[in-house]
Amino acid sequence: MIAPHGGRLVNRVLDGEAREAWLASAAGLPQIQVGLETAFDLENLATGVFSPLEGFMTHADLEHVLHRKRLANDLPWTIPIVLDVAREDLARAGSGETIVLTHGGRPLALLHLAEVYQLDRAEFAGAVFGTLDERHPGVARVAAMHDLLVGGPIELLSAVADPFAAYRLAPAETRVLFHLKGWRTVVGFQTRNVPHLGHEYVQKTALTFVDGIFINPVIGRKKAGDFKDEVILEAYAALMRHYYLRDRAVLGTFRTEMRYAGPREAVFHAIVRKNFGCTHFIVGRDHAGVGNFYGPYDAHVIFEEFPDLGIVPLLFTAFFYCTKCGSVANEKTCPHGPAHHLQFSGTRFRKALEGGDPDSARLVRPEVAEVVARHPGPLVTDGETVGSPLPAGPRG
Amino acid sequence: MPEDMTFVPIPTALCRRVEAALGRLGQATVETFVTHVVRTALTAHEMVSTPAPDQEPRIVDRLRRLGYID
Repeated sequence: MIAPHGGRLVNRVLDGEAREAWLASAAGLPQIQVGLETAFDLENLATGVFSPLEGFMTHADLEHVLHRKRLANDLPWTIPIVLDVAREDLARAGSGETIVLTHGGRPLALLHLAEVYQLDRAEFAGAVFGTLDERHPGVARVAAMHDLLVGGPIELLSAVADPFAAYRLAPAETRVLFHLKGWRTVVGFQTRNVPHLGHEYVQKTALTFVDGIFINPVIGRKKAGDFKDEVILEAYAALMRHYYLRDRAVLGTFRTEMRYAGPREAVFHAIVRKNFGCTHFIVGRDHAGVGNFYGPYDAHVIFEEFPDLGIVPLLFTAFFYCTKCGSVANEKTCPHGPAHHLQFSGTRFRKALEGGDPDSARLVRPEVAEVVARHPGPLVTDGETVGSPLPAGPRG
Repeated sequence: MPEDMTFVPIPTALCRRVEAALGRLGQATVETFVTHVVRTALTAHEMVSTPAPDQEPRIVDRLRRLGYID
């Protein structure tokens, strides 16, 4: 089994008597209320999804990540994992070294405060997103952050409720699962979309060369126009039920927000999948991109900077349906001209899902289109997705 | 030398060979090449991990309940 990033799977989940003791004393400790995305970060830190991180970044780690795309200990890391707090919250919290982080009034985690430092928004956004343009959702998010960042290790007391709990697997669990399935090589697939035949083509092409595939949709805040979490999950469950071998594919969620940081986020996504136990990771065209902020293959080129990533990126070019080939193809496999190519554009895909494209059957599986049709409003409209529980069912 | 760099001697003749080959190696300097090689070598020697045995029964039970395994 591939080693986690940094060599050790982090476990910062408190349980048993230690947890009970902290919960009993929580009311007497300084408290800071955090949002849902921070709650997801806490769970990811505690369960080793973000190994080797054990908490929110200190200034030294953040500076290295921003300017070298590495932690202070030289390990590759491209996305800041930070906690911003309001000055008045911190003042209320006092000078105690341990702070209780709460969500909805409920204690979620302990932060053993190591450092308080100033956020430099321009430095942060410029380095991570390569732009200061506030039309970029990541830049806009940084602009709305509080002035102060707090760093230090955390310990998880409780996770926030998860409407998709039946699909949530921690790295310790996926590692056991892959082991039990006898997979020595596993390719990870990141998605924030309902699957079309192009996705299936990429997944199965990669799967041909490894033992199994881990399809790992991002569940959490997305931008308006993206599909809702429940639609993505239900569509993948349908696809896998009808078109994948049960012993070769696993569906599980990754609760986090999309940063839309393009190439940097592609590397981050790869590191996370390494922690889940994947040996390979699929990177497509404009991975984690938004608008025209990144070049179509920037997320491929960046991997050249990381000979020590420890997970193999599988770099896929754009794909299309070729009416002459009679299959999904790409520029390396198809000799026919653009007149024969049906592109998987967002607009066309949505039309195909609605059955309004005469080539629907060449773009999307009917079982997937049926799932989308069942949802009255399948797209995010306000930047937040909440989600509803899915029916339980075998999905291994 | 930048504050976060350090000095590691290598044979002068080897350094000259690297300098002569930089273009073909796709590297800008001897420092970036040596850094690249050392990082690659370290990764190749990373420990292979196995799940913690004390956690495994609990995990297997949850995987079974969720339908991931029979």
